[in-house]
Amino acid sequence: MRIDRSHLPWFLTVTGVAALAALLYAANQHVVFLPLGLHLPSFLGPVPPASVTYGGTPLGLLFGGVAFGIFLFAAALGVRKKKRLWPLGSVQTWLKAHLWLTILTVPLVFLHSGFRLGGPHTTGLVALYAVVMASGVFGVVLQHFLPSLMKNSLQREVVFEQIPFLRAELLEEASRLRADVAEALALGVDGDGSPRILARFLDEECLPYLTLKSAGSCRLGNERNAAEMFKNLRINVRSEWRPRVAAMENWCQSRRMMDLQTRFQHWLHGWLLLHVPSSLALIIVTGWHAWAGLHFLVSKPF
Amino acid sequence: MLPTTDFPATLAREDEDEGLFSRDINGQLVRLDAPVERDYGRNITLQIDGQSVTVPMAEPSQDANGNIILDLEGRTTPRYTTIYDAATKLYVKQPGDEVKIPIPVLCHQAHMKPVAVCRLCVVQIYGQKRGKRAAERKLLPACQHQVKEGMEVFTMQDAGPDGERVRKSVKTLTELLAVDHLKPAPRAELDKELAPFNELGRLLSRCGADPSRLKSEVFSPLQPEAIAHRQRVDTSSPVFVTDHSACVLCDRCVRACNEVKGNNIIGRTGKGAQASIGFDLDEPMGESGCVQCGECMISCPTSAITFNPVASVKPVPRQGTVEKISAEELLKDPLFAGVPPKFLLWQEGLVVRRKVKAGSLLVHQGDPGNTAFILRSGRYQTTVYKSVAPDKKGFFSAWMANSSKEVVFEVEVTPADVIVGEMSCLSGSPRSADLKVLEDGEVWEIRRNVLDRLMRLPSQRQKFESAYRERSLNLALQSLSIFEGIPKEEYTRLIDYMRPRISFLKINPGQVLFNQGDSADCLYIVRLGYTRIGIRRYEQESRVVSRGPGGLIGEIGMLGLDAGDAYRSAEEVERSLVEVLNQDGVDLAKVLPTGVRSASCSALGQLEVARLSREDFLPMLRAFPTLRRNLIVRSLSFLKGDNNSDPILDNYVGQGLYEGRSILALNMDLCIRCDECTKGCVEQHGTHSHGVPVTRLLRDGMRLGNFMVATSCRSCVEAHCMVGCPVDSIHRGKHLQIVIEDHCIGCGLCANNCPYGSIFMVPNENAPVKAVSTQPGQTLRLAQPKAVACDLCDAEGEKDIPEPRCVSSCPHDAADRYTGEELLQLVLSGNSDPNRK
Repeated sequence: MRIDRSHLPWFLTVTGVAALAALLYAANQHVVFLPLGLHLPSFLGPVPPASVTYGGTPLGLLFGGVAFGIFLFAAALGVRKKKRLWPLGSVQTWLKAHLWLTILTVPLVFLHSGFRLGGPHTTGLVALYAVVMASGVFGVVLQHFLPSLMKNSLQREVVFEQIPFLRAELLEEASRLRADVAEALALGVDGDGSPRILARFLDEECLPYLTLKSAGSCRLGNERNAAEMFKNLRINVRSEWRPRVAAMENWCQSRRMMDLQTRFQHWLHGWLLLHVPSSLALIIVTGWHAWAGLHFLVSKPF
Repeated sequence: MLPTTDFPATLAREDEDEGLFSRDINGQLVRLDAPVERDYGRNITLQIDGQSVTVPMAEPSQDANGNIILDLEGRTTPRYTTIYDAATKLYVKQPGDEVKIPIPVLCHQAHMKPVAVCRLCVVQIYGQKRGKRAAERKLLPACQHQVKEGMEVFTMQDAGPDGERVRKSVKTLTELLAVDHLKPAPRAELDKELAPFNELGRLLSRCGADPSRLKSEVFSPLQPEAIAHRQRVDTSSPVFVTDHSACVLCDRCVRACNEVKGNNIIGRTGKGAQASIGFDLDEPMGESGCVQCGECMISCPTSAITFNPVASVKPVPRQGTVEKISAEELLKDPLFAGVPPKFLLWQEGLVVRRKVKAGSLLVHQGDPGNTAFILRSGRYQTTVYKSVAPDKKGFFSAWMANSSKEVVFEVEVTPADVIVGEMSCLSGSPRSADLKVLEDGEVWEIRRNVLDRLMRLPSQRQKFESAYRERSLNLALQSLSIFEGIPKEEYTRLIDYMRPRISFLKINPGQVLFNQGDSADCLYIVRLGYTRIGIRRYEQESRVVSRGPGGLIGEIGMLGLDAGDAYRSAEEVERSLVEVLNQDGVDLAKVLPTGVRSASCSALGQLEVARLSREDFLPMLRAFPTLRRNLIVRSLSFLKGDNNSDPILDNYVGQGLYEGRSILALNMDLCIRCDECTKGCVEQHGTHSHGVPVTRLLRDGMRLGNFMVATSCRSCVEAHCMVGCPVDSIHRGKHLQIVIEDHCIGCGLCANNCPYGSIFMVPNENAPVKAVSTQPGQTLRLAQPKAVACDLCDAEGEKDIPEPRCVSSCPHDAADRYTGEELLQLVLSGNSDPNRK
């Protein structure tokens, strides 16, 4: 999702809420921060908190609860995307909310934890949270820049799922050309050796390049190398074979485009492989953290 | 093989020449020259059964829909007038008179090229032999034989010996055909309905033939195995049944398939007693490439190709009562005389009766127009408003929009006008007027394919076309932007001036209207379709624009302006023009130098233009100063325009985006290629239409600036896909989107017609599916295909504003629907802001 003007209201809202939360936190710690002699309602907990674990205070619990609620809401985006026909608001709003509310969790989590890592359990939880947030931010950055880069780098895109079939078609075309060349060689119409040169090029360069699943190491995989190689090939074969060379060049060009598109596609969506499972783990661990914390709170109240 | 160089050149030449010759009545070789356009003006007078009739020597060739066939240079293709044409002129005075023609035909139909294979239309011809009246030795087919000056023709109606000779021949031929091929329909339940319309059966009673007298013992019967090929009944198609034993080999189905529809599936196969029609390489119909369009079945004069009732067309609910009209009732009506009965019997609900109440609105301007109305009784009023109120949200804004409608044109129509609503029905464009019921009455609502059939009948076509022409004229004139700002009184005078002077032209796709540098002899107004205007500079096309309905073409040349005038002021140009125009007693066409075309113009699709000649244009300039001023300002603004080549505009025209009403475009700066749009589409439509999930869009297509135009229906202004649907299952919905109804038979014509590949043919698993074993242990499932296209997720028209799922499913706001012009403006302005909506 591109971050543009349309995100401004979200940015302002999140900043406002974060500032309010920070003010509440500060006021809870130091009542003097509140202007005009105002004070927080008593149900928001003792001032200053009696417990060293700030998360256990009512205000801390409020921050934690809201953050956990946002985690759950953020996870619900996956469900929303699957249930497209449910009248649950537009998916664009959901995505924006996912993005900005999860950013809001950063101050909430910090305020909930009282800027402490706590024990090993909470430290692990914060680490997991950091992974989720970092992967999410990385995804946002990729989605902001990659579509434009992809548009400019790829002259023509194909349907991603069709790439294996299109590659197979290219290979089939090349194999057909190899058969034609072999037939020309068998008929002895070698002339100045053009069919032989083409056969060698096909066997050593073109066919391996089109066959390999990952052809990054092939010389034809590099645009500049490929241009040079085809230029030399055109010079070395007779004019009647040159249309075939042009066709070969086109196939290799198409293959390069598809490889590039595949790479882009993997970058665009690959981060989800980390983001989604870690988010799921975060929800589970946070759920357990909440249950354990509340259980402890009930058994040992302030 | 003999090398071509060894073949004596002289022999080759003689052989070629011989092909151009035939023998005349005197036995002399005569050269068969192809007719030329000047033969249209040469009249031939001949006598048919003693009645004199004068016809042109040649007529322009027409296609199956009665449209004159033009070559790439816009020239007609002449064909000789035949005796049958002359007889048609003599006997057919009104629809339904076709039965009065005393020349029976079996293999010939008015919209087909004559082949003269059945020989039932034979006539006795008398001509001049060595200056004396002499009879042709043989009876000759009237459907194919050209008319000659002074020719005398005797048909089976003639009481004399010539008539007797013809009668005998026709009778014997009919008996010979009937004894072998007059069969009941293979499906017993249909036979009762179809039997009265078996043309061979009707011919028997017409000429008093008795096939029973040709007992099988008279001729030695053929061995069953020898004619087994001709005896089979092919039930492989879910839609049609082919009984080869009932086929008279008239080739009507062959021509219907190959010439009328261009499918090239049916041909002749076998020889002698085994000769029959065949599908592809003589495969069963259901396994051939047959698209099941039904043209062959409708053309078949016997029970050789009959139908399974498949299409039940539901009448669209509207005000008043609706009742389906039976084929039997329709065929009794003179208006429908000549429409193939099988066509009317095949599909129910093509014509419905509506009882309408005074005060109700039958048609609303701007609504999709998929049907036409035949007025049976009552009085009606058509009203054209200046502009159709755009869709607006909210009661107040909608009310404001309605209250601002300005009446441009109002006229009362009665049953004497026969038909209304045919313009939208034929062109697929929205309704151009309101139709209000003034007095209780009855209308017959007909669907487009019925209107197409009616238009194939020459007598009906003439009637409908003249109504169409008159109404088109009014609409073409009222839609012109150059009339803006003209006072009402001047506007009325202007319309009255132009009306009798304007003529209409239909232009085929790609045909050139004029070339840059040609002399400007007329002004064109686009009525329907789009044109491509290209300006060449230094041997390169430097600027491309398109003009759509209401667009004016050729005004720069008509005003005598050129690129050098671009920087003159409008006042200056007008002053110099007025000086010439105001000279008294001069021929303006001679005084004002003829301008040259500043651009080349060609038709992008089917184009209909109104044409005003220079001789009529110049006095109009003198008489209407506001119009003159508008034309000058407009021309100068075009000349001042950027003449540099713009690849975006080039692409815009090249991709046909100008005609898009709802183009799905993805902003490639926002799109993360997640395919949520496609998934949303599939989920929205579910399995209802095809029994399996089907997408209506492909996230693949050409680019325009930052946008990719996805392969999905664009709801084109000119719906190419709707042309010719044999069962009228494709039409416009409430939002002018394309909707395909469930009774689609999967002929694929719409998919072939769509220039943008936006209609997909998908096997319909809901329809009868059969399994064919290809190899032992393997089966191939065969399902009838069915067309599928984007209907903006509102096929039923339940929403006020369509909400396509492809757009709402996109989480990144990359997908949206635009008109062609909106998209172009967005691309040209470089705006990719998702808040543009």
